[in-house]
Amino acid sequence: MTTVLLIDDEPDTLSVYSMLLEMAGYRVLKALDGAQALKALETTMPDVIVTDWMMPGINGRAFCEQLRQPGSAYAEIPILVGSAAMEAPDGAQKLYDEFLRKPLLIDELISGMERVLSLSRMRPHEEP
Amino acid sequence: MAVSVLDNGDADRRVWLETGIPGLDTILSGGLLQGGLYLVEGHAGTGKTILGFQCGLTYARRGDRVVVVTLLSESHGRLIDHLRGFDFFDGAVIARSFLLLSGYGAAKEGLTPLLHLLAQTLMQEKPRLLVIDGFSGIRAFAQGEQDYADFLLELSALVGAAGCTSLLLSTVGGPAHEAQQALVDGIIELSTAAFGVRRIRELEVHKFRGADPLAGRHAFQISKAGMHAYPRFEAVRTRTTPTARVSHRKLGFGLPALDEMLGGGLIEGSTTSLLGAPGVGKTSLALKFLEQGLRQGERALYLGFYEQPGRLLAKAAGVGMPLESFAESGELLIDWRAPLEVLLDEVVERLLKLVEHQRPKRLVLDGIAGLHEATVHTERNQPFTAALLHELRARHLTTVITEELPLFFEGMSSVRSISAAFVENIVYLRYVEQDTVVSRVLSMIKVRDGDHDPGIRPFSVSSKGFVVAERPPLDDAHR
Repeated sequence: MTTVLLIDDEPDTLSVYSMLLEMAGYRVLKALDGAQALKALETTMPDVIVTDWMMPGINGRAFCEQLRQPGSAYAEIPILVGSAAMEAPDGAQKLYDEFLRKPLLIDELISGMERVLSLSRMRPHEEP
Repeated sequence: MAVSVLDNGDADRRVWLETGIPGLDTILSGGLLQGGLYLVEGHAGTGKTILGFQCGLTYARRGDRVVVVTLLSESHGRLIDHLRGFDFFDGAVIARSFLLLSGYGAAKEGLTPLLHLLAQTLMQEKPRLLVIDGFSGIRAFAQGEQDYADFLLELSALVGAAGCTSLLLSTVGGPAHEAQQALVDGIIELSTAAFGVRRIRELEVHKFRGADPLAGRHAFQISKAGMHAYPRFEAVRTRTTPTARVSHRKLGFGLPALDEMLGGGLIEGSTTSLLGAPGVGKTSLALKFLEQGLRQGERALYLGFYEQPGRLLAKAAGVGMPLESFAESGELLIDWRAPLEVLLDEVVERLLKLVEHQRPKRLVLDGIAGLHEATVHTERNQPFTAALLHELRARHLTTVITEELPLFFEGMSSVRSISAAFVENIVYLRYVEQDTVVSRVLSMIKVRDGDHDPGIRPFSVSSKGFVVAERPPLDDAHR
């Protein structure tokens, strides 16, 4: 079963998308911000991360930067960023695998996740 | 690392889907937002369920799935039975594209189980439209206002994620009503209002995120054909004002003396009011205008409120204007509406459809008061008349309106005309007492653009026709 770490500071969005993803057969870890997400990563290694960009505290950028820093154990986890902002965040493309504009249809989200997962599986992984 | 950006920048990704309910999409400025959450509220019997199903059938006919969830409402069998009488009903389409389910059992367990049921259904059925009938009943299952507000927030996120437009059919008011109104994307209120002994159905869009609906109240009807909304004509025309072409061509009455007084006739695309007391000859003169056009191969349209087509044709024949053959060939279209319980905007919609169909050159609106009697909001009369006449000009129709003045009054200043301010020309027909007889005269009160004869001319209407006296020869003093 594919495990998704879903991060969004809007509780209703988080709850509904996690419910829909579970109904679609995914295991979902939920986090309301970057700090909660980093805590979740201490115990579970997800297959894919879906994160909001604009959040209080550790926001999407800060969270992705932590994951992508050299030597990070989470550097290879594919990340999808979702934002209601009109454009993909400037200069941040190296921090994530795919950008999706909100509002998001659940089918778009699932397609995006499957796409980055499949690209990730084809990618030669670096030895730890 | 391969980065794909699905974002399409500033492009508007929103999809607006038409409801298919005549007139409603004009009021909504295009339809409902895909994935939007809309509250349709009104008291019992205002037509909420009809709106939901009629809209559902539009979606289904486009090939979309539709889910109807009932809560505290009648049984599915009864619901469907009540809809069978409508023309929009199609049992085969409903069987193929609709899923009807009761949310009552899940709601009794709480709002979370209900949300799960809805989420599961949306994931499995992938409908484009969700209708929740009896939505106000949900409040009874909420554990307080916060629970209800949370449910609404999650429902909004759910239908947005599923891309499923949702109609919540609800009664007005009640607890947590404000939260309900605040959290939805749009509110359409259906109501009925009494005007004297009449009761009129009206709808109003109170809120509509992301679009600019026509504000204010609009009449609607529910008939065998289903729901039909009539956007307030002047509101529509304020938004999309058509431009009138300028013409110098003159269209005559075929009455040499009158046409001479008018400098050759009425300017093409203009509007003219024939003012006068009952029986003075307004309709006969208006028909003469149509007859002249028909003889020249122009199509003509007559809209009247007081004379049925048969009587009108007989009346025309009685004053030397045999119009039957034109009516039979379709060159003359006579539309008669009794000025009873009709809706103003319905009359105009029908008129403009006839204009579209008939493509007439000349139009007569016989008895503009009949139009105004159809309105229940009398403050609309002036802006409505202005909008209608502007529309007719923009369609390049040369229009003659008849307007009745009181039989007895003292001086023109005491007379109030509905149309005078909005027309280019006014022809005043009146009775005058001469010795022992009452005869008739006409004169031009207003002729915009062009020379006209300001004189007063006797005229007669008899089996010999409509005859306007020639200008008397000028005496030496005036020569």
